[in-house]
Amino acid sequence: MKTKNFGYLFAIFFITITLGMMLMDYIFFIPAFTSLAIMIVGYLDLPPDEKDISIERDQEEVHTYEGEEFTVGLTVKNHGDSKAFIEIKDELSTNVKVTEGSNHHSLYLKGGEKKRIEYKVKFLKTENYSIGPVNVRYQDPLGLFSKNWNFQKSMNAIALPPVEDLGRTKLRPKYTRGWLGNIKSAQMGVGSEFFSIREYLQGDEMRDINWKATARYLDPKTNSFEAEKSGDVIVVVDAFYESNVGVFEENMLKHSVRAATSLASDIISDRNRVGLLVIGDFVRWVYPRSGQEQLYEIMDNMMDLEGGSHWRLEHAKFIMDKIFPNRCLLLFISPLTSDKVTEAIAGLARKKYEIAVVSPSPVDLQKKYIDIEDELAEKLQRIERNNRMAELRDYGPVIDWNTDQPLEVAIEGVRRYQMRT
Amino acid sequence: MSEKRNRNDIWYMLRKRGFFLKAILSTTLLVLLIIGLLYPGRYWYFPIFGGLVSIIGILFKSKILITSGIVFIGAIFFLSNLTIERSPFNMILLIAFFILFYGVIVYLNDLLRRDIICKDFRGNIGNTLYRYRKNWNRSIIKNLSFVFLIAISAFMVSWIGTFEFWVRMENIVLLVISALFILGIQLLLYILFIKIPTFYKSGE
Repeated sequence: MKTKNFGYLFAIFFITITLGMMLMDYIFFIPAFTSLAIMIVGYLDLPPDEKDISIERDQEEVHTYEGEEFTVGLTVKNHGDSKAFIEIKDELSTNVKVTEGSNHHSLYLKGGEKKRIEYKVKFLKTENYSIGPVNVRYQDPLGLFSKNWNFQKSMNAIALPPVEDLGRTKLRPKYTRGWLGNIKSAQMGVGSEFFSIREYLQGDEMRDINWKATARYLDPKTNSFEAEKSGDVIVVVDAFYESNVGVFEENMLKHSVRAATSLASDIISDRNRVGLLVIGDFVRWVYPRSGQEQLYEIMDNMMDLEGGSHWRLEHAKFIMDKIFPNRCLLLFISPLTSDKVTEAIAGLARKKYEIAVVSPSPVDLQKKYIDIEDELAEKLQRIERNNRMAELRDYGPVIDWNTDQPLEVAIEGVRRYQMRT
Repeated sequence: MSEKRNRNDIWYMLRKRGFFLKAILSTTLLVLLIIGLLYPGRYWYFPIFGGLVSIIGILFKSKILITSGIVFIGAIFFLSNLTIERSPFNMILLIAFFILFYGVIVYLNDLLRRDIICKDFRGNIGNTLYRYRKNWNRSIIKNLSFVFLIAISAFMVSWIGTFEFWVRMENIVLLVISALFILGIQLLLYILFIKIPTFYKSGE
């Protein structure tokens, strides 16, 4: 395609040659000759054929975590014989930030030359991203011809919610079920911890016989063990619009999602069953199951989460009663910004559910992003928040989580609480 | 490498503002050169206005303003020289200046594009852009030299005989022979300086 420059040069040529002929003045032929010469030379660098330039991606699909850096690689090849000055731009979504290098390059490629481009990106939000298409633009050095085309091959990138290693903090449900797990259930059964000695029964394994006790009592005795079982945990994420305090880069919803995935990963690793319930603009739920696949399903359901206010926590009660199993641990992740949420949690606790609340602190987050500090308003907010947490502490452990600190530190409080009770 | 540390680095600052420095310097030099040639003529100060328009275009990164400013300077220069003596040297000088104006427009537009690409970079720019710039500069110089040769040849053909002289029937053959001779020289130059080096380079 000819550019505007070509048009301007053609206009100069036409006007000056006409003036030169009309006025029979030689000086007007100078711009006419020169502009014609530029146009002629321009034809030496015509744009390459679309087939002559190929772009290959290193990967077509990738799974990564939100906030983690990821390298995007492109290989550009000029299959033609002539040189090419091309500009390429890999289109990125709005929530993708380039951290090193660039998605926009100017390349000089000789005939048959191959060039590799690498740049690092960071996904700012848990979402399903599409990187691409690659827009290519050719412009000859004299700026007379240009050509735009694109390579539709996009890369599908899934940014999963980040998972924090919770280390020693083991959050466990009080009520266990028949399945094997890591929770000591104060009953005799299959396990590794010694519980008591009992009379030998037919069928007991030889390795379980306590030989010292047998020698002392002159009667066969067997070791019995504490049964290790697993339980059900439902992670409930408060995705209400009014709870989502903060800015795009850092907000309550992001912290809630981080807490939910970290807790789900930790609980699943203990062979428990974990389910999910997200309430906001939509209700998303995952029936409790165990295993790594369940963790990915939970993560998948927490992707692309937006704050909303269509559903109420009262609706959660209905889903809990009708769909989820009874006597499970409800692990609420909520900044507790309204009394309605507190009342709904208390209502569920009064029924048959065991509850625990992890509450990311919106007051500390707000303080980081507000320029003018209003001490009185902050005090009032803290008092309100403390009152709500105190109210819920009657029913179960409530963790006040300052989001600047690791979640592990905050969860340690729950463990101590459980050990005391 | 942190972006913050880089921002305090003087070289980083210069690199990021390299476009402005180069563009303003080229425009100023062009304006000074034209003023030098036009002074003490009647309109010697007019190129300053064109230069200002170009500099505003550079600041606002507007291609149309940059081009308009340079075209304005070129037009003033050309109109001021309408009454110039019609000697071969003066005509060749005019051709050279026309190419210079066009070259500056193309250079500034490419500088603008490179600046946008530079701004998108995080961390080290690397070798790609440097290589592009080097080859682009080489290519534009080669192309403009070729333009110069063609324009001079065309000018020579027309200078040898007047318009009426060529139009006469018996001289048409002479004109065709001259044109073919000039075209032959161009073709030879093209093969010698463009095609053969490219062929050997791609053969490596």
